[in-house]
Amino acid sequence: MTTMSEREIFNIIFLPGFSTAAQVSNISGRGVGMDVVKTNIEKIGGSVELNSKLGQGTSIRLKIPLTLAIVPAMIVASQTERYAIPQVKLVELVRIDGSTPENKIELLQGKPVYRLRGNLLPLVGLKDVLGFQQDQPNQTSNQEVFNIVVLKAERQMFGLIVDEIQDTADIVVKPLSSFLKSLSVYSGATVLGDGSVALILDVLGIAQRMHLTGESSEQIKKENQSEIVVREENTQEFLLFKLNSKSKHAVPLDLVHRLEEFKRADIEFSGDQPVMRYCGAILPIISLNEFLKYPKNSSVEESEFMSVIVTQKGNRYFGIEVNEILDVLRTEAELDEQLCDRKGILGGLIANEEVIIAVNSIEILDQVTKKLSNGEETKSKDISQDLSTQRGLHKILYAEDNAFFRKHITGILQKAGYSVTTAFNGSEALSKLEEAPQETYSMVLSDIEMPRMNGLELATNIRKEAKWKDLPLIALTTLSQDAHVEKGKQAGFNSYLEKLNPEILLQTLDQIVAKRAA
Amino acid sequence: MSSEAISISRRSETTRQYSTFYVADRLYGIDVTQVQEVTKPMLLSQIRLAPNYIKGLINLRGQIATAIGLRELFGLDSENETEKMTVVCRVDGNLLSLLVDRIGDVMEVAQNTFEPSPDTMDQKIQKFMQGVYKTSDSLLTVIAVDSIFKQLNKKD
Repeated sequence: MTTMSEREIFNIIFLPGFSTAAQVSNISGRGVGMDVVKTNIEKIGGSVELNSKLGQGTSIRLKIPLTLAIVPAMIVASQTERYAIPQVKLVELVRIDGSTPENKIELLQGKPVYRLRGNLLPLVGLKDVLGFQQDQPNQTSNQEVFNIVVLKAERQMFGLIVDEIQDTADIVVKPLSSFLKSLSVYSGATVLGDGSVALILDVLGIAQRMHLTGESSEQIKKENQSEIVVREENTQEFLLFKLNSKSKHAVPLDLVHRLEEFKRADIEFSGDQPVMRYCGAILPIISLNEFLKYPKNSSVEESEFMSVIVTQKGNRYFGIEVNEILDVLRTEAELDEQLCDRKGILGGLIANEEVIIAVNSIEILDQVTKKLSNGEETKSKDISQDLSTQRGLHKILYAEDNAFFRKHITGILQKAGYSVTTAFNGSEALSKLEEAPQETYSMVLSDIEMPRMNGLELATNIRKEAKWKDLPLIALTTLSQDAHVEKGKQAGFNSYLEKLNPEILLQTLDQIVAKRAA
Repeated sequence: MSSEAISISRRSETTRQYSTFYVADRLYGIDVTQVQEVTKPMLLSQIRLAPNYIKGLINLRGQIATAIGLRELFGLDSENETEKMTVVCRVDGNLLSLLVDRIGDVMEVAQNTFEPSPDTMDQKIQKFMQGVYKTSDSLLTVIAVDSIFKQLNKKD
């Protein structure tokens, strides 16, 4: 004790099992409390400090980081219960007190409505939505003052009658237990300033429960669908970021799993490879500057945080370190593939009057995985002359709406020796198949999510025709959960493959070719 | 190794510890490792439209726990509610706060006194019962928290 500093002595209080209680009861006195405080505060990134002066008192200071899930909300009440409504769903507040003849609730076919600047606003009572027992059945009609919260659910506006509008507050959204999510009227819960818990109302869920979106949601659906059709078939989305180079760089957005910011100090090493612990697995971090051999920039390397693009290859996640994430770019610009001056670059494209360098993250990951598997020779890459002539005899029809994948996969197939015809979506693929003489195509590859006609519909349509009942159909997709695979099989796909695994794709195709030859 | 140490290790192999509590004067136990803490009842925020055994949400030091009325869940008489304490368990990242009448001791029971639950048990409670321990002066019904959670997630 004598050699310990004051601070060290104070910290004993946080050790588990340290207790000053003379007696231990069922629920207290075991010396757990302060340990729980410390571990939980530290778990969320905070800290606990304790200072004490003999005879004067003790101060305990908790430092707690602001959570990111903070939402501005309006707190309303019905009877004594309080609920939070996210401000983004809230249009305005209306108070109806009957002061003027127009300022009143009217009944239309027995349902309350209000004329809001000349337009009829359907009204629902929060008590009716949540099934409060009406103590006095005629209470609402006798009431003179109503508070209405005007809410927006998709494109439908409606008014929610509440007893009281309390205040605005920035609330921390806490998720509900999984079994409460089936109650569609709540989207979460929060702890209010006085320590009580308030439920957060799900405006869309309320609208659905009160059948307020029935017709209009159909309409919205239709409009959305037509929007998808209008979408240009060659539009691609890229994630823009900065490197130690004057030009902006980009990767196709479809390949991005998540964006993360890591503390540089948290990096660990596996051999020479920097890695992070991420979601319970090891995430190798690849510096894109290093890979592309760009000059070093010490101010980036010394910064406390690093921006990482998490991407997936097969079952593994990889982190690609960049200087700064900038924006998402939607463009129809053609990729100029002549512009590759080094490995890992797909080409350049012109957007917003500047040249953007598209990075081929798939190639980079291929290289890195090869390095990580420690030079372990996967398979001899020389394909026998026999196999490549075999492949040359086959024509593949490939349906894919995303220009990047269309190019990438077509490239792989052509390099392997196949000839490929592409289609932008399912219906185009179907008409190409119909127009061509029988047995032109030996197999069909298709993406699942496509506009106009998706992969599942394409497969169903193909299997309808007797002449195509044995045509090999392969789904090529990023959706590879069991449920999707099951659906695909039902629609008529022979196999279901991941987009980013060229080796398995070629293997599967070779099997089909071999079967045909036999 | 001393003979005492051997006997201790042997003992821990054949006994288990249960955190016990009473609901409607019946004794229940939950594996002590599954219990996070025991607390006094806290302010409940009612969840409208939820099934009757979901009693509300409580603020457990900033974390939100869902309070489950064991009386309602087990189909025991809920006339005279005397729930005085809550047993907090964590299942799959969800905090469940089980409302009980009274907290008992942590009981250490011998494995060889265990028996699966007899078939005559009420169906309402049978599905939550792991089995029963026969102690010298009482019968301890063992509740599987996982099965409670499973039941809650079941769509009616």
